[in-house]
Amino acid sequence: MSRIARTDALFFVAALAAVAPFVLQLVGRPGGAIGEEIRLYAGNLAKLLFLLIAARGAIGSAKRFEHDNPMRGTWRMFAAGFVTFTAGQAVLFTYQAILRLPSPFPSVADAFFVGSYPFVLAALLRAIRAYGATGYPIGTVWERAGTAGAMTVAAGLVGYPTLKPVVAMPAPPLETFLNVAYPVLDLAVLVPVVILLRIAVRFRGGEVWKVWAGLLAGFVLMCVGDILFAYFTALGRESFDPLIHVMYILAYAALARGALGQYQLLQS
Amino acid sequence: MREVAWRDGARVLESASLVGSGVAKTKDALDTIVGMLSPCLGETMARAAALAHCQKLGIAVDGTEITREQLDALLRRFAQGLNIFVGREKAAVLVGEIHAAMAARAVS
Repeated sequence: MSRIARTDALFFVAALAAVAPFVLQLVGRPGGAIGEEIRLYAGNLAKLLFLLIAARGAIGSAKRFEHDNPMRGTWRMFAAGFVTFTAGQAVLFTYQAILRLPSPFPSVADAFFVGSYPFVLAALLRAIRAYGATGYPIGTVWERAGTAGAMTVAAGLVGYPTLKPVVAMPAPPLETFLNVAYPVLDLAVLVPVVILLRIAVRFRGGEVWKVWAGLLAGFVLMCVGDILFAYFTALGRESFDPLIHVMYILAYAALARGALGQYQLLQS
Repeated sequence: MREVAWRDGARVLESASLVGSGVAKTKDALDTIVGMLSPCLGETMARAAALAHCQKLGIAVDGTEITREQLDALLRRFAQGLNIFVGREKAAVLVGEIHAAMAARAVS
């Protein structure tokens, strides 16, 4: 088994193990107080660990790309985004697993999470520009512009009905702002993500594809998680919380695999 | 290990240059390039890129032979993109391996 195949298997097993307690809760087998404890620690630790790996992979990739390589800037932006995101998750971990308090919403963690989006967006846009300059057949600028236009319309069509009840719910202004901001920022991220996905799919079967498949799947799952969070919070449907945790854990695992994949690709 | 492979490849290439300016049949050369880049780029992209680069460089894909100059130009094009995907160091290693494989073919 190659190193890459071993890493894939390890991530798959780790992600499955981390989401298993939440899936059991979803299917009506919460496991009592022990199940609650397992979910608290397994969920928090898995999220933090996967994000740390993503940040480490991105930092390593940025360092390995040459100074004049456009992908160095891309991975620097990813690194800044993932480090900021990890800081937010560390705040949640501290509240929930160390202080054993319910994490407040909003909290300092949200400042980190929201602050990570400009970095991630910049990274994705830089990647599109860099890949466009390779001279490889990845589609025309017009194709990419068309995808961006179609995605913006689709984001509006999904975002408006989903966020309407969120805005209508009586809540403190900052809470409402964040409940709207997360899905809106996620949908904004989805525009370059889909453009990159259309580019990356042409590399399927190769190591480059694995990198982007991981990263892009991570962003899509994060978007789904944030939309579900905003929607279920607005409707007061806490029974769906485990599903949101599953989305986040899988999202961070995919981001970690993608970032580590690029690092391995540069090292091998 | 790869450096050793590259150096070995360079030696084979040197000896191959004695064979003449025609390095290989174009189709064979492209098959070698696609085969060696597929693990990294995927076969679809490797083949599509090879054809696109050949078209831009005016290399006839159905032509009988690809010259050393054409091959070098083609690999330079590949390397420019590979730099973005895998970094300059690995791109150089991959191009070196392709050169070595082509030279080995030319000798045999």
